[in-house]
Parts: sequence; structure tokens; C-alpha cells
Amino acid sequence: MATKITNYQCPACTGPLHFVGESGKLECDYCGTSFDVEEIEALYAEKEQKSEKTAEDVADATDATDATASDSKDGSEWDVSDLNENWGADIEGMRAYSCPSCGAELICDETTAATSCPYCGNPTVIQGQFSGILKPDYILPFKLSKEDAIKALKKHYLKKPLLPSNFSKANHLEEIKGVYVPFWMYDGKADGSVQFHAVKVHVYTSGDYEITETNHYDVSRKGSIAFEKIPVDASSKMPDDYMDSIEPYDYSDLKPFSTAYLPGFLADKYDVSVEESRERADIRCAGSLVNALRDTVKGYTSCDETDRNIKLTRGKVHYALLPVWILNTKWDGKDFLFTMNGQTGKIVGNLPVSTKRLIGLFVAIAAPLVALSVIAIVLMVR
Amino acid sequence: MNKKRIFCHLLAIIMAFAFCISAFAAEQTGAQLNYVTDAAGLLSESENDRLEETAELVSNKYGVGVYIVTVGDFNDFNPDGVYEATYTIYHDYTMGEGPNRDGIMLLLSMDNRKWAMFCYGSRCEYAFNSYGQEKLEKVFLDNFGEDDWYGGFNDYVKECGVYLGKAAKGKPVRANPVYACLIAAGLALLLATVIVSVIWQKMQSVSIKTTANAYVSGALQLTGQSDTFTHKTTSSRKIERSSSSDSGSCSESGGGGSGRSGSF
Repeated sequence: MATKITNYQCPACTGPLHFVGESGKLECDYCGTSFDVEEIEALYAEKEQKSEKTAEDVADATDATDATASDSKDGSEWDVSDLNENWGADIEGMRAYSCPSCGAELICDETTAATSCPYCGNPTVIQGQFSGILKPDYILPFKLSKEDAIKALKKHYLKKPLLPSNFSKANHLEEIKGVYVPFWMYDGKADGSVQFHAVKVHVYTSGDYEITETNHYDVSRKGSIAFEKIPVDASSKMPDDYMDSIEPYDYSDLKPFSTAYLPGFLADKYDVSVEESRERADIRCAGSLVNALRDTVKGYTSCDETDRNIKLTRGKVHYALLPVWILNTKWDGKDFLFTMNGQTGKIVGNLPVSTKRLIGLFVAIAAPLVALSVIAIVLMVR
Repeated sequence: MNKKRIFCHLLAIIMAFAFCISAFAAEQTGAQLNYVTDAAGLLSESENDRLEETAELVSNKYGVGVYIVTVGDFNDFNPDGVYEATYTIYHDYTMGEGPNRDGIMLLLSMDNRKWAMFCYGSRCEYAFNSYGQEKLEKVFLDNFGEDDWYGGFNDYVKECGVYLGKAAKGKPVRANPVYACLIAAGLALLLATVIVSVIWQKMQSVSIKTTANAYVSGALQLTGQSDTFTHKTTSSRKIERSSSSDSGSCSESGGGGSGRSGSF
């Protein structure tokens, strides 16, 4: 069965359409006309019905023609028998598609669900990646553009005194791409009890002695807390810590999934299963319950957890695509990865530390402190 | 009660008498008291004379009066405290050497075993700064703790001579700042390390999350809680007073000078 590929085209000029986060509409690259997502969805649903009917008619006609055709091996064709059609291990994990706009062959990762044709540049959606049970429940459309991501990256470099002086100028933005990252969203409830050892410390003086009285308590708290849509990225290509760090997302903008939001961005389908991702959600549920219960322990000088017994009630799992800008930079022969939440603009990424600046900053802080304290002591002594 | 009152009055009369004699003897220096005024009667006549002679020698040599006064109860002179009583006596009897009335006075109040030291005048305070005063008290307080009055006073007068001698050479007794400077430098370096670490942390913005607080729906349902007291532990620590010696003395200021006071 052939994989269905959609190339959203402008109904006015047939130019390629791409989703624009700022307007929340699909816009034509050529004539600039914009369309609501619902409008394009309805148009393409109608087109799909028509093309299915046409395909059936063509199939009937082709069957009849094939029956009468015969092979011709009279030497008028090129001999391609030496060409190797077997890609071996190289083809594992790859898929080949034909661009509906220019006919070029697209070789993609097997998880790729939306991309752009390297020849004609048209945004292409591989509908088959989202069919049946693979169809996401939700999509959070991009709100911020590529320009916003570049601005955010530049801002990320500011007020970083340890950043190498030429980093912000000399590092090259190798690649910037907007990706709809697949996420599992877990509903659930954490229920359990946590034991703490808490102390109240009372210090007072008696004569020439300072007395410290410490009252020890066994503190127990039981409770439950419900969670909704804890996101855990379901793509092995995405580093988990980066995906965690750009949270949270505002789910009030969550929309029912439609491929019409994908043109202009890359999209992957999940390749990490619900079960494989569940542990990360479980850890976070338990951690939040413990923190919430600890917050109810008040009036003590300190409080340390000694034991916990937490039961997790797992609820519904949702499949969603969330917007992430990925920025790859290169500096001094090393790759640096930054990711930005495509909805909120929160950008994260570890920055290099200049050893010279580190030492310089340390000296700049330490030298006056040492000098001031030494001068103060010398003056006091006099 | 009556006996005690009579005794106090008698002591005050004796002290007044002693002060009159001292004032007569001290006419030569401008001060109205001798270098040694033993109103409490702690010293024998010969001890008193020896101390007087030594104190006079030191005072004349360096131009800073070195005085010893013993009284029954400092409250008879100033009820605000033993230090206040000391500078009250110093000023009331116009003690001190030279136009600036430089001098150091050690007062012992025997009824309540209190002592105080008062330094007055720029020359005196140059020789006996707060560190010097603190160090000086250690010379005599151990003697007084053992009721060795002459020994304590003798040590005091001699040590004053040493201090004044050093000051005269331009090298007054001062704390060695090296140790304190090293500690201060260490603390400054530690503080700098903490500040740099905080700035370094800002360079690292990526980490795995261990909570999901942003996705909590509804509030925590607290279904049970208990706080049970299990036991009590107590620890004690002797208070180390930075400005005091082992005998619990402390720095004082007032009366136009500075000094120390405490118990012995």
C-alpha cells in the first residue's frame, strides 16, 4: 500500500502553504493569501474523496490494459541489470517518498511525519505516519517564529560573564528547525504516605553557656494529588533533559490534531512507547506528591524525608505534538544544542565556560574582598 | 544590717581620709591622688611605698601617669558601674600627667570584687589600644584571683612601663594581624567561590525534571497527618566572648577615654 503524502497548496495560486504561528493560519508563500486551518481541512477532505473515486476508476482501466500488454526486449532500452536495488542495512530505519509537487524522491527517517522537499522546498506531510492508532490526539501549534527563536538565542547569551568573549559572534548557527515533537501526556493520581524526621531547635543562654535544645518528631503525612497531561517526549532523537527543561506548556492552546498545522515545520511520530516513557512520568508524580506533603509540615526548624510509600493510579494517556525550535550552533569545533519552547519562548542550552574569564571573574571578586577585609583588620589593629 | 551600714560609713570615712593624704602627697604632679591610693588597705606600708616609687618612675619617664586605686565599693563614687566610677575618680581628682592629663588608672572595688581600667589622653591611648588593654589585664588578673594584691599591682606597673617604652620607640603593642588577615582572606576567597559558582550554574540551564507541579489538577487532598514527639536532646557550649578575657571582662568606653572592666 502506497504511503499517502500531502502537499498543502494554495487554492488560489497552487503555491505551497505553510502554517504561521503568529496568525494561527496557513499562508501562501507566493500570493500571500491566508486560510483558516478548518477551511483547508474541509477543502482537502473533499479533494480526498474525489481522488479516491478517481483512483478506483483508473485502477479498473489499468487492469484491462495490462492484460493486453507484452514485454519488449528488443535492445531499445538501457541495461540497468547491474544497478543494485538492495540498500542492505543502510535502508533500515529509512523510508522513501515521492514529493507530490515535483516528483523528487524523498529519503526520510522512518519516524519523519512532516518535512520539506530538498528540491522544490515545498512543505510535505506524510499522512500515513498519523493514520489509525498513530494519530495524535492533540497538537499545540507553533506561536513563535524562526526569527523569535534567533532573537531568544541572542538574548540567552546576554548577562553571561563566563561566556567566551567571541562565542556570541563566532559561533555559527548551523541549523534551526521547528519540530513538532511527539509527546505522551499522562493523566494520573499519586496516593501515599511520607514519613519525615523533623526537629525544633530552641537556643537560649544560661549564665556563661549557650544551651541548644532539640525536640525530635516523627511526622507522617498521607494524601493524594491528581495530575493532568504530564508531558514525556516520545522521540528517541530528542534529549530528555532538554525537553524537560523547556516546560511548562500552556495547554489552553491545545487543539485537536490536524495535519494542517504541520506545513512549514518538521514533525516526527513517536518511537518510544507509552510503557517505556511511563517511568519518567511516575518519578515526577511521586516527586510532586512528596513535595506537596512536605509543604504541609510546618513549624519545624528542619524536616528530612525518612520513608515513602506511594501508589500511582495511572489514567488516560494522550498523544500530542508539541512545538519545539531546535537550534544547532558550532563554535571552536564543538556542537552546541539549544531548544526553545515554540509556544512560550523558553530557551535552554548549556553554554561553554571560558577558563580565562572564570579565573578573571574570581580574581575580580576575590581581590577587592581580600583587600577590604585585610585593610579593615589592619585598621582595627591600630 | 546596722553593722553593715556602720562598716560602710566607716570605710567611706577611711577612704576620704586616704584620698586627702594622697591628694596632699600628689601636689607635685598636679594630680590630687598619689600613684597608689590603697583605700581598701590591701597593701602593707612597704609594699605601698615600693609600688609608689616604681609607678612614679614609670610615669615621669614616659609622661603618662600610672595609677592604682583600691576602694571598698565603687558605688560610692558612681553607681552606674565600676568603669564609670574609675573615670569619675580620674576626672574628679584631675589625675594624669602633662597638659593632656595622660594616664592609666587601675581600680579595684573589694566589696564586690570588681575591677576596671581607664586610659585617658592620646599618648596613653596610643600605648594602650583595645588589644593592648586586653592583653595587659591578663598580667594582673591571675594574681588578683589568688588575692595576691601586691604581685598583681607590681606586674601591672611593670607591664605599663614595658608598654609605654615600646610606644615611646614608636612600636606600641599591637595585635599580630597576620593570623586574622589569613582568616579574612580565606573567608573572602570562599565568598568569591560561592558567587562564581552561582554565576557558573547560570551557564547550565538543562536538567531532568523530577516533579510535575505545573500539571497538578486540583489541590493536594490531605487524608492523614500526625506529628509525634519522640525525644529531646540537649547540648551546651561555653560562650566565648570575643571582647572579653577568661575572667568575663569587657571593653568599655566613656569618660573621654577607653578601658576595660570585669570581676576578679
